[in-house]
Amino acid sequence: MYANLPALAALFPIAGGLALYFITNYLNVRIREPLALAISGTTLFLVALMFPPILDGQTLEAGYRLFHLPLSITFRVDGIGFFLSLLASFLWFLATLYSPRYLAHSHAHDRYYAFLLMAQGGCVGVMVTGDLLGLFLFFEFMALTTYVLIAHEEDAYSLFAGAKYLYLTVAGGLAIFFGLVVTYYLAGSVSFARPGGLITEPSGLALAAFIGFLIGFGIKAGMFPLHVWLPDAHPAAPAPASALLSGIMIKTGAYGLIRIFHNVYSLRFFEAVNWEICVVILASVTILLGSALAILQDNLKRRLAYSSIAQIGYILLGISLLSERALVGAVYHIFTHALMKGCLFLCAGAIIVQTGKKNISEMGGIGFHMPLTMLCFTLASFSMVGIPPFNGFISKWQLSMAALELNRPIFVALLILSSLLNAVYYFPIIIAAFFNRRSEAESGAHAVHGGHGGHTPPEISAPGPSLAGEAPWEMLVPTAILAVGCFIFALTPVNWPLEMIKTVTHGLF
Amino acid sequence: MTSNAVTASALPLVMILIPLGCGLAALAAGLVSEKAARLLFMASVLGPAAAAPLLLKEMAGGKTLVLKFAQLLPPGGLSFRVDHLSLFMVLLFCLYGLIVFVYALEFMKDRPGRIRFWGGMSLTLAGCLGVVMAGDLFTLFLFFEFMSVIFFILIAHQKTPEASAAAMKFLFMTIIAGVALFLGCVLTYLQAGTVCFGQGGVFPAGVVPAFAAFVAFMVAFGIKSAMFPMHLWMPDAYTFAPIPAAALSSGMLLKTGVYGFIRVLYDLYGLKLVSELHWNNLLLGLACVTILYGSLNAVVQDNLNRRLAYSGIAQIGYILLGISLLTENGFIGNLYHVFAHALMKGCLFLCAGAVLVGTGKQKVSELGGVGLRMPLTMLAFTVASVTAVGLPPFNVFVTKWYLGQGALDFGQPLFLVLLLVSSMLNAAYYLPIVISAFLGEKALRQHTIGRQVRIKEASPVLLIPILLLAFGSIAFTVVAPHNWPLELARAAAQAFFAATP
Repeated sequence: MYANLPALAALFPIAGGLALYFITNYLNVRIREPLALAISGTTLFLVALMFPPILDGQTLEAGYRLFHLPLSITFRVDGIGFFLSLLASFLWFLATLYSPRYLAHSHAHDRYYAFLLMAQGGCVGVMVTGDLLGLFLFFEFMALTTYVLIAHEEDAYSLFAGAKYLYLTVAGGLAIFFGLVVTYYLAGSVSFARPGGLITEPSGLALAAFIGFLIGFGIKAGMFPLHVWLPDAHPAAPAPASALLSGIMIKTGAYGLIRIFHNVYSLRFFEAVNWEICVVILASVTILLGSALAILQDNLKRRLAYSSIAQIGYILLGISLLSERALVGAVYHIFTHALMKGCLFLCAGAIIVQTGKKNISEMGGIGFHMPLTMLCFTLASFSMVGIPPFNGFISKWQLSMAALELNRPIFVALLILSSLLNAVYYFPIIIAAFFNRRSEAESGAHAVHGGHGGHTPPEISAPGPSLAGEAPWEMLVPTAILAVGCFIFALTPVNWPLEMIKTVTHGLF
Repeated sequence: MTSNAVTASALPLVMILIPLGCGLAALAAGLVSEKAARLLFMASVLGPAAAAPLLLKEMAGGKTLVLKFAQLLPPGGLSFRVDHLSLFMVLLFCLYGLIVFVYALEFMKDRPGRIRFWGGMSLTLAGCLGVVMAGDLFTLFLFFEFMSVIFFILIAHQKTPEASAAAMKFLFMTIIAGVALFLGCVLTYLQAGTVCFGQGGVFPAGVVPAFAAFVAFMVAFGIKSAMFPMHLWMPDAYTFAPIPAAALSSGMLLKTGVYGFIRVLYDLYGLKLVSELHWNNLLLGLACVTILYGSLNAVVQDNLNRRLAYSGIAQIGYILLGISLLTENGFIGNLYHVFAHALMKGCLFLCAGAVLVGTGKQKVSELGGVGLRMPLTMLAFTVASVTAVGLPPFNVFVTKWYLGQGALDFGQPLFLVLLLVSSMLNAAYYLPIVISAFLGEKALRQHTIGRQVRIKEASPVLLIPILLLAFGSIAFTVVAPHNWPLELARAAAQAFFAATP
């Protein structure tokens, strides 16, 4: 019975999203949000059901003649696929919970929830398929459905950001397609299950395929110099969609590269040719560039977007160092970053809904209006900078240890430098939020109370600390869960995620 | 595997004569009763479509159907021959014709000269079926000319100066094509002593007149299939002809040109001779230019029909690329694309027609918000657009997969890169239409009264063919238990490639 779970988990939210659109359009509007939450929750449950066999070290496999493409599609879940799809479903569930209040002032809810759920199916699908064709199929599906989420506001800016995203993502898809065709030509198969990898002989075609994969997954991950869509797409999308985009969807690019390194090619292959060096270099540039540019941004979501670029650099660095410990660091950072960046984007969304402010320079004293939101923001920022015992510290620790084991201390210096830059662009926000009373008084004059955005006429509030501006609980709870997630595992007797990641990455080596 | 069993059968002739007779009868009956003309018009496509299953049955077990009238037209006589390649084309024409004819019935309902148009469509169908079931080059030539001359009437249908000019352009080029084909026919007969198909290479190797014949065939079929630089008739014809005529041309007439290329290269010359002499490189080069030229031109067109026409040129480039690679995978890719492109481009044309009827708009820049007004039509347009870009699980993905494998078998991955560049351009000229149709504040304002969107779909008789074609883009890859077109294309490829090691 377990063998069918992966396909079910990927296809259920897609079918559910489509059904939701028609049900809410023609039958009953009021059940829209609960239904969306139920579908997302069921998906999470379906993924979680896979836990017992995965814990036993099994791999869930099922081949389907699902599509009459030249090849059939297989579903195959190993440890790493399970862990990431669980993470994705969990984050999606929280974002779905968060969405209703954020979107209260917005339009086209039916479309938003339908595409949100379909994108979830695509994202889970990427992680539960057992071959490149399936991965490509779901990857493209996720990419196209996400476009609708990014362009959701339909104003000039989000249409521009969406178009930029769409064309780059189509180009990336075609680059992956190139790699896919070449892989099949060279190996006669595109399955991840073949021991020793698919492409074993270095050749010009093999290099071309590698470059194709690198471009395709690099665009999705936001790797320099292919990151250009990311800083526009994140601010344009609704906050829950940005949280998902940054928290998990760009990680599918990193996941794809893991599969490329370990299942399409093999470690032995890279020992011979050392092509991973170019990923190492690009990842390093991505880290520095993302951090440096983040400092310059005044739009909060834009700053978070550049920060995501820097963080994806850590992940890519960990993947491309090709040691077991580095991969543990990278996967742990995927987990960490999903929680903390998800939390930060949800905070930014709460601020936009409650005060209408998008720019950091206007946010002085906001901590007095929204203390809980800003507390979450602070916790996530600490994790971002890498202060122990927050999660960010653990992933950086693993990455640094891996760098030292490989005798490349330069990467430790890079990580420390980037952490410093993280501090430079996160702490001023916190300091201004909680300690800048003067600007708090100013900003208080513009604060909107009890409204959820544009259509409520702004009321003038009395200056001074008050809880009146705090976000509603539907928004606070997901944010708080993510914020707590940023440190709780370091305080439990066993760091469950870390142990789990160590087990699942061991399977790849 | 195909056996060499040959069966005599009159069925091919019947399938050609039904639309021919019905078309002529419809023209005559139109003088008396329009209702009778409509019935005969539909009968002209229902007849062959109903006979198609019989054709399949007769061909079961890999048989080839032949029919000869040796005395009818000396020196070669008139002959018909249906093998897997012909069968593929016939089935496609019947399926696609049925859908387009239903659409045309509704589309032309209140337009002047509709009887003439319907009759012309029936006769064109007869010509197309004749071309793909012809048993020798001379018979093919006859139907080829017949089809082209009839199609002239369809292009000129609207009688505007632009339509007449477009039709004249088409006529001149088609006459050149006809003369070239006749020349090729004569040269072939002089050298090989026969013009019959199915003999696996009739030319004695390496003679100069054979190359002259080859060039003549290139001109003839190149003009018909709109290969660069012989595509000149097509953008104008598509812009000024009624939509069903454009759809008919893109799905059928162009494909007869492609069919001619395949017959000549793989059958008349034979795979062995062509690959020894490398004449395919000429076609290969032109195919690549055609792909790029068509795609790049399509991006800048504002008239939707014109954009579709240039896109069609690019797609023909894919097909010619697949033909000229001379590899089995490339051949499967090309044949599958004949099918995939017919459904995809047909759907886009019919959508363009429905939008024209519904809103009176034909320019891409004016189509903002049209998806809110005609959601189902534009949903079909979206599906066809995504198909054109080649994303799985839609049809064109299969095409690109096989063409890509074919390019790698040929040893030139750059062709694959070219295909992907063209796919990117496909995205660049289709997706903006889709986006502006559904999204954007400006779009919303144009089509709303207050907050309520006025949904006003095209009439069901227009809409159902559109939806069927859109569904066709996914039907055989996802829904049907087997991908029949792909299997048939494989069988057709094997017939040619198994013979030559």
